[in-house]
Amino acid sequence: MSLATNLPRVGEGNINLVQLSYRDYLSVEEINAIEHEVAILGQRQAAGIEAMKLVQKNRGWISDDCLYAVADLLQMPASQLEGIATFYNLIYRQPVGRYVIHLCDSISCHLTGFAQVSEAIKEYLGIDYGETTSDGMFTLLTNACLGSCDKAPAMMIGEDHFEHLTPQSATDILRQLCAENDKDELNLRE
Amino acid sequence: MDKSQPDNPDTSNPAAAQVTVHIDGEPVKLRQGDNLLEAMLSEKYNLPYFCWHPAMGSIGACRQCAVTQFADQEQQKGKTIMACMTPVSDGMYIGLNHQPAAEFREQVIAAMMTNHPHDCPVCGEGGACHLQDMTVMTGHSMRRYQGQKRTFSNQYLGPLINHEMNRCITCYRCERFYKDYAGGNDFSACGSKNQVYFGRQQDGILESEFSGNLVEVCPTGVFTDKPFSAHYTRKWDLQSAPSVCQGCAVGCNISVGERYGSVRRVVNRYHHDINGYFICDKGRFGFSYVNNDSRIETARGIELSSEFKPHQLAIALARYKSADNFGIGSERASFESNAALKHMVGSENFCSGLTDYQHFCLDIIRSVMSAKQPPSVNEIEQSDCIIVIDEDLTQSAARIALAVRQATRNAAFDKAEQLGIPRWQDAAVRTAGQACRSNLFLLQSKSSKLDDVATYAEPLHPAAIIKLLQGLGNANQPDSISDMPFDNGLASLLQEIKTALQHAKRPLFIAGCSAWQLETLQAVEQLALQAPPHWQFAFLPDAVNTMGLASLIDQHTMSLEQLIAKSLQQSTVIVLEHSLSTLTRAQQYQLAEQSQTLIVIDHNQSLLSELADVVLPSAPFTESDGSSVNYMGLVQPFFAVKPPNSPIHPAWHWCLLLDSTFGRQNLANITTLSQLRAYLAEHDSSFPDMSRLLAEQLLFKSARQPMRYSGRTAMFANQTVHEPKSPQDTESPFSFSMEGAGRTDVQGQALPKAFSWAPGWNSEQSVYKYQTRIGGRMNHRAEAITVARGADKNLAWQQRKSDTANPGVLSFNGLLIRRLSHLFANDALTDDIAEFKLLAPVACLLVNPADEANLAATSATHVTLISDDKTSMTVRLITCDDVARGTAYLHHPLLNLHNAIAQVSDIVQASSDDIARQQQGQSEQLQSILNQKSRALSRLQKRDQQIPIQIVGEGR
Ligand code: SF4
Ligand code: SF4
Ligand code: FES
Ligand code: FES
Repeated sequence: MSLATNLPRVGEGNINLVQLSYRDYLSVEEINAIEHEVAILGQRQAAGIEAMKLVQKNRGWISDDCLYAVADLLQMPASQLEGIATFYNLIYRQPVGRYVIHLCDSISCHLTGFAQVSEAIKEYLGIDYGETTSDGMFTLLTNACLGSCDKAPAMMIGEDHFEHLTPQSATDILRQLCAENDKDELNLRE
Repeated sequence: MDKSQPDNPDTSNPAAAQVTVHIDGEPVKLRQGDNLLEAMLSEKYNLPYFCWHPAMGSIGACRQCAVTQFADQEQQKGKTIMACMTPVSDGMYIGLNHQPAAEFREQVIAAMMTNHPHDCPVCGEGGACHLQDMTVMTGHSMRRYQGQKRTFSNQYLGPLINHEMNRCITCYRCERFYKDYAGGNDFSACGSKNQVYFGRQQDGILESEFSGNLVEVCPTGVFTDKPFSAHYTRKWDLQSAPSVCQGCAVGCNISVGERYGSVRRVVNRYHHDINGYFICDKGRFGFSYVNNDSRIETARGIELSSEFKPHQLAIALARYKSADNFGIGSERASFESNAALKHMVGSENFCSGLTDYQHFCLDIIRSVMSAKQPPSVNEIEQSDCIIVIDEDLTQSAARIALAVRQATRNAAFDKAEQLGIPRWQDAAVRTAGQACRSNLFLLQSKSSKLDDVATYAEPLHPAAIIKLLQGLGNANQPDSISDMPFDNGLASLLQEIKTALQHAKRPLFIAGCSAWQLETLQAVEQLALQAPPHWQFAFLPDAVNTMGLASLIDQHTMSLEQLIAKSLQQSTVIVLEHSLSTLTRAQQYQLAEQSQTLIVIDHNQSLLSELADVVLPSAPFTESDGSSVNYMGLVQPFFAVKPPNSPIHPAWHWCLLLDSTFGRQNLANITTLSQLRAYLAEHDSSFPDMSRLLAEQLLFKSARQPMRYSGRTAMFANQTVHEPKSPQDTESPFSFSMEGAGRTDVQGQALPKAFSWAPGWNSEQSVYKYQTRIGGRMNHRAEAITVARGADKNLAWQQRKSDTANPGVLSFNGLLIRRLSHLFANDALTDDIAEFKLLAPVACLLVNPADEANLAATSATHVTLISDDKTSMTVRLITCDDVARGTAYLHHPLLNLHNAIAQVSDIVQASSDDIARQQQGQSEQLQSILNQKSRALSRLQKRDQQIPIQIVGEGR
């Protein structure tokens, strides 16, 4: 956005317009990786999703500053990038837990026991949709159809799909993830 | 005199064939290729819709416009289709009231209502809400949904627009208007599924000059008019009048709403050739000076009771009688007021109220206009190659900037047409068009908000712009242009423009006066006079009625400088609705001191009215009838929304009243506006005959008040139990009552409407019922009356063009310092509006980084401009390469009131004291604006409790 067409206004008080420059915020590796995507896609703005995925991989989620930095790098309005960020449910605009559970709530899963699975997970973790467990392990979200309708109900955690869920199997999976995580941490400490 | 009707045809798809479609069994003729929704609405069917918009086309998002398309004439089998996505074709069988489709429409509403709050009673849209109308129309009368509703938090969007997201029905109209149509980039649709949010990325002032249209574009109460909400009345309780925006020379048509004596809001009033469905924020929010503390409501300098008789006025004024009387006209006063003043003092004693410099500009405009009829806004939208010359249209004639933006889409429309995509298929046309744009060359010295759609928008030095224009006029030597010191590549730019012009069918040049660069205008003039016939030129004068005033100028007319140079010791000078802010403070004093008597007729106080011996209260456009003449030379009448309270009178009426004391007694027997118009038409060759426009309509009045106007008999009950007689209006086609709504005239012609309403259609969408067809002209008879184009020039202006200093431009060290033009800080009147003051830029100087070194102030945050006479002003320094090298832009609030700094002898880094003072001044200013705003509001609200019974002056 050009300065000359967007002058500070009286009603905004004496705030100095600080513009976040991507250089101050993104690492050189991030910038290079994003530029690589831009080169492939041809149009800067088209790289929005990939850019955010790259940054999210490093930082866990997309903060406001991340959003402004990426928008600045891609030379697009922040509002437009926000539209993209909030449309795709694999871009997180809030801090999330180590594991993000995307439980499918679309029609096939609804018909095959989604409700019970959902209840079981919520009860096991003690959280509702959109929330993160206090130990920072799990965030629970819904998801539109995961493409596993023939193996419904289904959920996705990280890059793994889990299918034919029952309340029991769903909580088992979570328990197992906890255990693995504990093991990882033990290993790290040793 | 040129009284011909501008013959611009309705432009959307003119040649399409009519075909027969059967709707619920009835054969109807519809236009082939239109979408079915538009075609059915054109035939005045009641078919509900949300996402389709007459100016923005269809996207098929809301599913509200469902109808049944039958397989054959048996009308047994059929499918549900979206009317807005279906082209009309011959022999269609359509079921509008067919059960499954009707039920589908009802269920679409039911689904929307699962999230829509039940808050109509506290919603600003209530009573004028498209969602309410459609809900009733589909018959959805019971709410069965018991579950939770989605809730959002709202954003602060600045002082003009309220945000209440829970009311959203996800039709996407707002985003399509704000982003796609108006080019705003601080607004988007966020989220997905059941959680779609429309707003900014974060709280903050909406940046678009057209944000106010969201109020009308949104079919629900998500976006509402904030100042209106603060002092609110339901639409059905508003008394309205058709009016004309006074914000700039475009003359957009508006409808003004009033209640309890104060003006509440302005909405768009559809005009096919000018504003269409949209106005800018200056037009929508720029009226509130009529409610301000600064209004002049009584006479000053003479004793005058509110019910004075003309002879009493003459007695009161007798002591001011002098040997000679001069009148100063004004660009913002009505056509009639200016003409009345001129005829009162006589043409030898008439001063236009313009400076020499303005006269030169005007002279050029008129000379161009006499060669080229300026295109209407609608025609501008049809142009396929536009060259904007040194004018930031987004700030000086915003509605035209919006039209220019649409014009850049013509290439995309053409491409879509080749691909067989109808124009109304909005999403498809945009996808097919992508970056395909018609040529738009912005020859400007500072970037503007049209840059994003321009072929060329690099800032150019004004001298380079002049060179380009000269090059364009010179067909024989295409490449002879040399580069300017700062601007390389001029030759190739010139070539590019020439090529574009060669291929263009309807090329258009647009220039204006806000850049204060006479040489540029002269270059445009030369170009226009030798241009091929199909090149169009639009020239934008300064103010709402500049062209009306211009048409009254004759060989005797004086400029302000000429008047001041006269010895006025024996003279009375009468100033008509003009604050003379084009003069310096010293010149204003000089005028006041020199003249024996200074009489100011105005509606709001100004620095000048403080100096006057006599101040007479005039009625602003909301309280008087009159007309103004827009940039095309079109005479547009406006009507009072309420009568003025005596002793307030329309300015033209003051001229009639003053005639016996200060005039030539020619106007003695005239008391009404129609008499005045008749007199002027007869005695002044430059005044058009307006009787055709009005006479017939006077017999058949339509109502200013809706049928449900409430409280009529109770309004004054705290003062008298008798219901006061409603004010009579013999002068306009509108009554100050509910009488006459929906009437037609003798020939069954529809009457013009004071506000837009139709049975079942309470929102502004109702306008389609009164159009010949969607996007066409209004169905009431509207004669277009124009003033004469390019009458003979006043020779005085021609001779002295070259040696007059340009008052709007300062210079320093080779740096050309121009005034910044800004929509909310362009003129003294709207300077009085709190919201606009908040939206105006902070005091600043904009320079190119390369020029920064020229100032003795490298890397300073603030600079102080010092003039020879030791006046100084400290402003924020903003460096950016969006300003051409060698030019700078200055904004300071005082520049609007009077020329606060006459020349610049130095620009230095501001001392910390200066900065502190400047910033303190700024925060004090902010605080005082906010205080003023809340004071004004509480005063108006208090007045609602005690409405003065209107004592209406004669000859309103
Ligand atoms: S805010 Fe209004 S215009 Fe925008 S999508 Fe919602 S209902 Fe439609
Ligand atoms: S473009 Fe001019 S006339 Fe139209 S609404 Fe804006 S200020 Fe008023
Ligand atoms: S509906 Fe759940 S995977 Fe398709
Ligand atoms: S108006 Fe046709 S789908 Fe919205």
